[in-house]
Amino acid sequence: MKLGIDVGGTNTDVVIVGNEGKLLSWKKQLTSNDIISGIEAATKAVIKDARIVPEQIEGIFIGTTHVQNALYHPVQLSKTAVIRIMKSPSHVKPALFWPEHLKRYIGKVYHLKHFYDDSKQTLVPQELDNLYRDLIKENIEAICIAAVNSPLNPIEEFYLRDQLKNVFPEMPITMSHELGSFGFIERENAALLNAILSKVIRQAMMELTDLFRKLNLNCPCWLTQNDGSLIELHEAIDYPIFTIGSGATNSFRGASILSGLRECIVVDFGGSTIEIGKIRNGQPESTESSSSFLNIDVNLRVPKMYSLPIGGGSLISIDNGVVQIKETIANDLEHQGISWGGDSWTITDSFLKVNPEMFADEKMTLDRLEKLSYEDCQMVIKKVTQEIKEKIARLEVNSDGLPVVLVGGGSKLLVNRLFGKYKRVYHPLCNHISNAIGACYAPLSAQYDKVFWLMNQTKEEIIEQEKGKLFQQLLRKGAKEESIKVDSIEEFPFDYFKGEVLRIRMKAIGDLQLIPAGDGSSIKI
Amino acid sequence: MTWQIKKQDIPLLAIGAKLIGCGGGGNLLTIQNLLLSMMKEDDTITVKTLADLEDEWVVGTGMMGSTVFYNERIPSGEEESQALQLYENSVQQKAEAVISVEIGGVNGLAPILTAFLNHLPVVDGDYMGRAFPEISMTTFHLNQNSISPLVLLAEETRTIIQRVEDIQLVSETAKDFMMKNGGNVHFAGFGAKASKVKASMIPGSLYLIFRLGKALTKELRVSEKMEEMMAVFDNSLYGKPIPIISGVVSEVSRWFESESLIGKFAVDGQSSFSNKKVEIEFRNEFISIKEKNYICTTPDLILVLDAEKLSPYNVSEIQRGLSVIILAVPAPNILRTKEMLEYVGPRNFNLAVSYQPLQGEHHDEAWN
Repeated sequence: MKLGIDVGGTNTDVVIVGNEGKLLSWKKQLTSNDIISGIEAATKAVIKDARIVPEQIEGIFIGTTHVQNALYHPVQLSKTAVIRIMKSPSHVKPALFWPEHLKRYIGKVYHLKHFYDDSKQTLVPQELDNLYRDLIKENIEAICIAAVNSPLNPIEEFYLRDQLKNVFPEMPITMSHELGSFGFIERENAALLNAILSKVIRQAMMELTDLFRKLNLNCPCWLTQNDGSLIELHEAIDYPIFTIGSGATNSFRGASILSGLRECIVVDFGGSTIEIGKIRNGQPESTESSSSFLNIDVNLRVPKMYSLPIGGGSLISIDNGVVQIKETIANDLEHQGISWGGDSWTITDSFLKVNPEMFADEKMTLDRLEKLSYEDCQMVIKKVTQEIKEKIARLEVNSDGLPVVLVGGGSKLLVNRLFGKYKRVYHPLCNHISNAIGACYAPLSAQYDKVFWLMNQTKEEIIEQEKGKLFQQLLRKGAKEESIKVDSIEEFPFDYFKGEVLRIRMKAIGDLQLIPAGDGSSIKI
Repeated sequence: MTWQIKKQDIPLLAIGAKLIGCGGGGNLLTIQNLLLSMMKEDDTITVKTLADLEDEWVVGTGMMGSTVFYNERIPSGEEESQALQLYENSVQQKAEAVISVEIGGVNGLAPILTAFLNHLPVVDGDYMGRAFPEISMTTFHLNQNSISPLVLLAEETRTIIQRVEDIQLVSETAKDFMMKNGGNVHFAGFGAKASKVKASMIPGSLYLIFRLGKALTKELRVSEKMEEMMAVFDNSLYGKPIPIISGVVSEVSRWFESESLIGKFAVDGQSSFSNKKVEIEFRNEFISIKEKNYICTTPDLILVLDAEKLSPYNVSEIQRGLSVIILAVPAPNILRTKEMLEYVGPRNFNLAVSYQPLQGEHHDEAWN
């Protein structure tokens, strides 16, 4: 059986799912300041409720915004050195558009000239010694190596990494070719962010490992990544940046599992945001074009989704007959919302005014909704549903009529609100814990993003050969052989260059062996 | 009257240059970051308009070849200045201003860096009015100015093409050098006296990309932004944009043929365009829009914009599922003359049609 954990900004959700896909227990708990005590309390509760012993848990699956939060509220970031390897130093400064609070973690920028010539290494030992001395002098805590052309030939990045490891065995080192393809600036950005995050993730991993040991959970443990697939805890230590956007992906996958639908649109209605994404062939769809975090261009694979800054806790005002949706009071909704006796008019209040029977909890006092105008509330609902419908339409390329699955704390407000008769809308049970459930069903993945010179081989031969490598990787990671398949292949031919150059991005996925297939065969509750 | 480019204007110019590149001209991240890295807050670059030019010797600088490699092997920033120096030595004349040869894409900004580093003014104009893949596709060449000498600078080596009058030969020699030396090079050339520059350039295109960038980065709703952008074009040598479709990219095919990124994609109309479907062909740039028949071809401009932000897409960013708005913009008249169409008309891009002006160009159509 599996233990699924989702650590969000507001809540920490933990579930136990049995081997036949039965939900054995769940717990929703406010996320604690130290993260870990919240996980501990909720985990103890679900184990107790499920009446099992910790030894029965065969795998732990964690989705967390912890690493992402470290970028917004910098704690435990590492002072990082950038080592650029190129022909002649460029005036382009690293981290140009970064927010100041992250920029100051860039310790120093070093330049090395390309040092591989006809596969012979020509680096001067003296130059390396100077580098080592300076890294010590500057108190560098992490290193990012970015070599021009490394997606085509990573040999210089590997060589330098190995040399540095000999001298600084404990130093976290990120090589840019592992985090991006052609486009030096985006690749360097991603590698640099990754290196800066190395302390955060090490700390988190240590605490998690200690916690699970303490709780007698001695099974393997995975984190979910931006694209929704799994990465083992010890492996994640080197790639923290891969875990910064996994929350929404897990929720979309959970919606697919809970509804049993392998093709659908998911609307996750939370307290502060609404996230809208798409499931194709049982997998969350990811973006193909450029992506960014905090306006930093990184070109990483992230889920394709629309995030509306609207949630159940968003404040409302009407100016000159026009609805204005403002900041959210999600964490205080149950104190300040009109439906709970407060004075703040929120989206939740608007929906409840029009449909008071929608939901109730003992703390609610709907009589105060009297003072709101029915027409105004109708206008609010119309605006919210209109925005959601627009985004749904954008995701529905050539696939009109996809069913819509509603999940998340605010999703009950939307039931019967979205499409009337002609569209199938699902609101599955347990939708409020769809992230934690989704994490339990995440697949293993292996991917490749490389640039090839088509010299002696055809494109098809290269794809076949790389596919074989990916499948082998998945087997080694513990995927079920029969479940392994190619998830996506994208080709980017290069303009102008004589003799073909082709960038191929390929991803393969497979189900984790210890768990019955997460094939949407629906969870039993 | 002259005007000044400040550091804070660079990102606006980059967006404008990408927009008017019509899908070509490359990703501007590197050139933009170079300028932002090298300029200080209070640095300025003087721009000379048509009226300000007297008898200066004006030289063009920029890059040729693969912008993919340009963005990977990031330049030091000094390449074009070195090329300019070699050029000056070769012609025994000092540049008194620089000009963009191609306002669309990377080359819209590259001369600004050269101007900045050499304390020269940059001319408000260019020789393409958008992005095109060949040096023969310039108003400079149309006006019988000689392209040679042309200085080309690669990472390891350099060359000067001189005393070659045949434009095809210059072009082939340049490409051959480029291919042998890594796929992209920096150039200086297209030198001419101000009187000739005035007669052959498309004036005001630098100011145009600045205004376009400004319009597209305003905190406005899509419809308001659209109006701003329309107004900018309307108040320029270009015609008023014509809305073609708003919808979703449904199929993309892209391949590589004779040194160009070629392909097409379809857009399925949504909302007020829901019964419409168009096909866009590209060859380094977007070159045609087809419904049943061609409704727009080069040299008229085809803009493919993100439906939510109105930010422009280039050819390599087009992916299935994108929501886009497509506009056709009548090119400046000089590009539509019979003589210029010999170089930049549909047949130069392997389209089997003759150039037709855009339909609906003359009646005002409101964007909804």
